[in-house]
Amino acid sequence: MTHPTDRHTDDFDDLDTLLAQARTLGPADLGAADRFLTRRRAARSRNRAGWLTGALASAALVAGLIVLRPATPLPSSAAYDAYQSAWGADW
Amino acid sequence: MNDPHDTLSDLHLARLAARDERAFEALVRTHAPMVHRLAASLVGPGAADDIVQEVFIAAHRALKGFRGEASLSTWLHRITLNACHRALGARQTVTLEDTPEPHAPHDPARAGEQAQVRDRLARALAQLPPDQREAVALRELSGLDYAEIAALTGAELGTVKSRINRGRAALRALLTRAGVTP
Repeated sequence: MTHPTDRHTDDFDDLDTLLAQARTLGPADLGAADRFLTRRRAARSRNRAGWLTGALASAALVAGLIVLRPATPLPSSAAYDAYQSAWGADW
Repeated sequence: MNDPHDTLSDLHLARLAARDERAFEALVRTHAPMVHRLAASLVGPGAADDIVQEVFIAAHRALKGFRGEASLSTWLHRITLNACHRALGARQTVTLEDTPEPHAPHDPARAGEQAQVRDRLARALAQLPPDQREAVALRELSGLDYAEIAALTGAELGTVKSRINRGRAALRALLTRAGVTP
């Protein structure tokens, strides 16, 4: 039974006991690294997958533009025109 | 086979960790338990994993600038306290008498008596002034000595002792009034 004059001492002991319980490393503390690293690896995998998807999409877009671009007529060259007119059409 | 990173010092690992993922993982494995313990007792067990994530992401970004003037552990304590301070500032005040939120009952590792103790303690500590809360947490939960706390908080040694004494007295009164016992 607690004597009234011991109350302060007992409270002090209670606080120390409570703090000691909180201070003791438990399974939740010891597993914190694994939980963090698992989340981090998952996030990095998602980022890498997103980056790869973006890169592939960009490459496909560029390839499509190159392949499907309408052929433009070659610009006529003044030298070629002179050459043709000098020889005539029936050479 | 043992990981060669396990034999390296904190400072060596910190220098490697900015570009070597294995070194970073070794640092996390060494220090995450103490970061989680401090966070669980300051913001409650339910939010401790978020603090661990915030701390190590911030640490990874800042590792290039870590020069080893303080120990890595001290540096991580500072980042943890800042993260906890922000988290506490962003939430509504919850008194000790309020019903505690459930601690992921699907996860046995986070349930249990210790989680309840830390939850009550976090609620009581949240009611202390920040300087007393930090000093008490660093001394009583992380086990730092007065000189380390003084270096970490930038306060004089006497101020640190005074903050701890006043913080403990206030904590004792809060917990006694709420009927919290070990």
